[in-house]
Amino acid sequence: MNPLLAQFIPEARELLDRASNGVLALERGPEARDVINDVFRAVHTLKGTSGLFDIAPLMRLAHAAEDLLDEVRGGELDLNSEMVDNLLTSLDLIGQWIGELEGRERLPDDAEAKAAERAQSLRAWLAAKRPTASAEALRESNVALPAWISEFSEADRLAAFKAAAGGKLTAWTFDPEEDCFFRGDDPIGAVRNSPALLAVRARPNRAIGALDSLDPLQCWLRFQAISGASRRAIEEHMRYVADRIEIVEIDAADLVLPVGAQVRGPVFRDFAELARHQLATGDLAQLSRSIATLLNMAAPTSLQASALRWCVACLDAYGLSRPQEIERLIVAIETGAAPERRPAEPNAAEPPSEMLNDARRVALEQLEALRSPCGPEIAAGRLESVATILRAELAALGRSTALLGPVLATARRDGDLEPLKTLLSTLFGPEAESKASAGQAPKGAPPLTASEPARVAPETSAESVGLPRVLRVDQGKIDVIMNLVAELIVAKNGLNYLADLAENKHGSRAMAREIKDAYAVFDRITQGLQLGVMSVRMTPVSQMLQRFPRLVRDLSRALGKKVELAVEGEDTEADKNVLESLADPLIHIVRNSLDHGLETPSERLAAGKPEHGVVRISARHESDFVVIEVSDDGRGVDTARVRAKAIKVGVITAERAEQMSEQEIANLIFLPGFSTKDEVSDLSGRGVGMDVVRSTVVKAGGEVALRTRPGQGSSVVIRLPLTMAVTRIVTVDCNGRLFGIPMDLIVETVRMPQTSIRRIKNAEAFVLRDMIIPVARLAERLGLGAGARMGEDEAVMVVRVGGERIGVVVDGFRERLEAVVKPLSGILEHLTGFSGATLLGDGQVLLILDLPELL
Amino acid sequence: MPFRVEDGIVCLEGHCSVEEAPDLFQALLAVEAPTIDLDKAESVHTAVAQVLIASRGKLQNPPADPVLAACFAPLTEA
Repeated sequence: MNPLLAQFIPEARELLDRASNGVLALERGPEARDVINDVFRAVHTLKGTSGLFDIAPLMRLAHAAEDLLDEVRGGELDLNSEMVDNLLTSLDLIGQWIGELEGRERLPDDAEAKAAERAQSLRAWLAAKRPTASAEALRESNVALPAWISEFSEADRLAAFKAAAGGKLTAWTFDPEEDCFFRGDDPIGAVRNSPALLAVRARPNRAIGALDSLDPLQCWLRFQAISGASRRAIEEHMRYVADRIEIVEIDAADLVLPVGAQVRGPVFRDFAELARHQLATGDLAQLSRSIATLLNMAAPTSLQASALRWCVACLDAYGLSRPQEIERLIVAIETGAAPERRPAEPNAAEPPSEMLNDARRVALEQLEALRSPCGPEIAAGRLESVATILRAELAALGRSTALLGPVLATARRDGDLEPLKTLLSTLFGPEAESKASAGQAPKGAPPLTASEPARVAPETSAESVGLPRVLRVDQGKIDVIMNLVAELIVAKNGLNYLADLAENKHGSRAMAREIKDAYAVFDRITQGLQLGVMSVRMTPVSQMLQRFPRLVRDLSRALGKKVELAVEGEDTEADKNVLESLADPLIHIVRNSLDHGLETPSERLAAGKPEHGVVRISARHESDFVVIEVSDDGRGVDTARVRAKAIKVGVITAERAEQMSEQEIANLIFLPGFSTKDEVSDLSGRGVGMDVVRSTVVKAGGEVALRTRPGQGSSVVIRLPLTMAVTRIVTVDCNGRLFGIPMDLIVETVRMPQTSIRRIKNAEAFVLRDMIIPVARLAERLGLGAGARMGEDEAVMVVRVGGERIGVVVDGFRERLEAVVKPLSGILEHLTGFSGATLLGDGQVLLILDLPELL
Repeated sequence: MPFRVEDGIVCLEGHCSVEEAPDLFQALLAVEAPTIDLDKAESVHTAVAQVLIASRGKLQNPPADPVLAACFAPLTEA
């Protein structure tokens, strides 16, 4: 599978889960703003990422859901349970499609229709506000029979009808653009090579004047075609001129349009009477004979002869399964008038396919039930109850139940179920038959169309050949190993404690040394193990970045901007989880760069810059962090506007804004609900982007910052820990208690003579290598009273918090260890000053300090 | 040269691409109701076909390609 798609599928599932859970939570308590934001973001991201693939129906549906959620979020609409139902059904449908994508790498054939139908019902709530959107949805679902079909000659229509063998056909028109020759198009060639072309007409789209008034390089031919291929196949074939084609799915029976001169005569009335009788008794042979006889007598150009020829074709294609078609033709023969248009009901008002699927399943189950052997009295009763169910079903689908009568009569009389089976397969599609004969009773999931298994089979067999020697392991399994390794590391620390115990309590130095030796061995092995597991989870940044060239290309085209994407350091590796948590934020950042940062070519030229803008994504390692920077050479952040907007929406006061630097102002865009663009574009600018970026990065233990220079561009820097599993910790002693401090925060540890620490008013500070470093006493901050002074020197740990260096005075440094820090949960969750806890070798719980909060 | 005009007969040969269309157009301006011979033409570009249709000529034989034949249908029906 395309690696991008392979990445998209689990991501989409996660987003769908989040959205569905959120929608459910909203139904319980619609006031939760975070929840609606979260749902909205999930759907927004889903829509955005789905744009990378050829799955337009999915994107359209997600877009419709997003629009509805946006209204709800903005308070314009109140979420009611009907909306919730609709949203959940839509999300489920998308979920089903994701499953299809995983198995077959494309959406099911009916996706287009289903998406249109669902999107329409979602947009129904917006209908008053967004008339254009619903009009579009309406147009998509419009499937009226095109009038031009009757202009095909009878021979053409007959040939197409026979080729379709009573199934579905596609009628499409192609109206090439006038200047299409200049783009190298050859419409005749395109039509000729279109899939399963059965009949074609070509007409000028205007009156052609005298030859000398003609432009030989302007296209004016217009094409109308009937094809045996699916709508999808034709869309795929004509994808470059998608806006110039119109496709309508028709039933082969729509082609049954007798034409010719009217003749009248008693012979036709007699025939009609006879034929109706033969039709009612189901005497196919006699009926065919009567038709042949009359066909010999009638003038070949008459309407009657034409209708008779159609009779033959219909009987060939359908047998007696569609008597309504034959009846229409008999009426035409009797009256000599062309029949009314075929009632559009089976096409134009096609019931929702889910309903049809359900109906099909029920019908199948009924048929299965009839098959099982039983006594004659029971059989009769069973047949009646089946008849009742089928009648109800047909009525629900809006179909005539008239056809059921004769077939049931046959079944009652002879116990022959074949005609019933044939009828069901024509009513519900051929699947009913194939499934029934295969003896499968499909459950729950909508049945596949009959042709699908055949199509899937060669793909799967091809996949099993020539597999690279790579083990595909579920990430969950690796995570389990990772957790066990982490536990092992903690357990290993226990040996160290044991050694101390042996030496100090039991007074056995030799024993202590033995244990320490054993510890060293364990240490080496666990380190190897940890590196091994980590390397399994390490993936190069390039894997995550591979979606960007396409994204940048599509976006820049959509925006009419010229953009180059430069990627640096794509070999940089980081933990898969870390990179995954980066993927979404990066998409938002790149989108924002393109949408808001970069100027249009004309603006750039006016500003004296090259026409092409550059978006640069660079990745690098900085100690234990992976740093990803997205920079552009656009106009930079308009800090004046950000400031104005920030004051307007009330995130800062005017006085505070005055004191803030330009860079600080620019970083306000990470606040929730912040967007300076006034109109909402398809790409970004709903004020979710940067907010999502920050919350995602922070959740993954990283930080994000924006730097901007007016007129020269801006850059967003994301710093994330290389791996999230194991944290290196220094334990410190404070008034007899032990606390842990993450190693990343510590710049250095020093011993300072007490005299070097000076008191300036009520704060303390000392000078370290020409820098004044403020001092904080941990014992005071934790409310543990004054620490026990040990000798002349103070143990000072210089830490970096929020870009500033602070010296933290502790009673002493203890061991360093690698630990798995678990966040505090339950009633300890709201404890401030601590970021988590871990276990020490002797089983003690070590609290990890949250220094940024404490200081 | 993929087309020849002789004695009111336009004869197309081989692959007639869009580049031929303007030349053919010029040549046909001088011919009143030409007879069109497509028997040796392997492919005819839409632009070329349009010039032929607009010349209101007569087809000697119907083209083998059904789409091309459909394009000339108005000529043969008239």
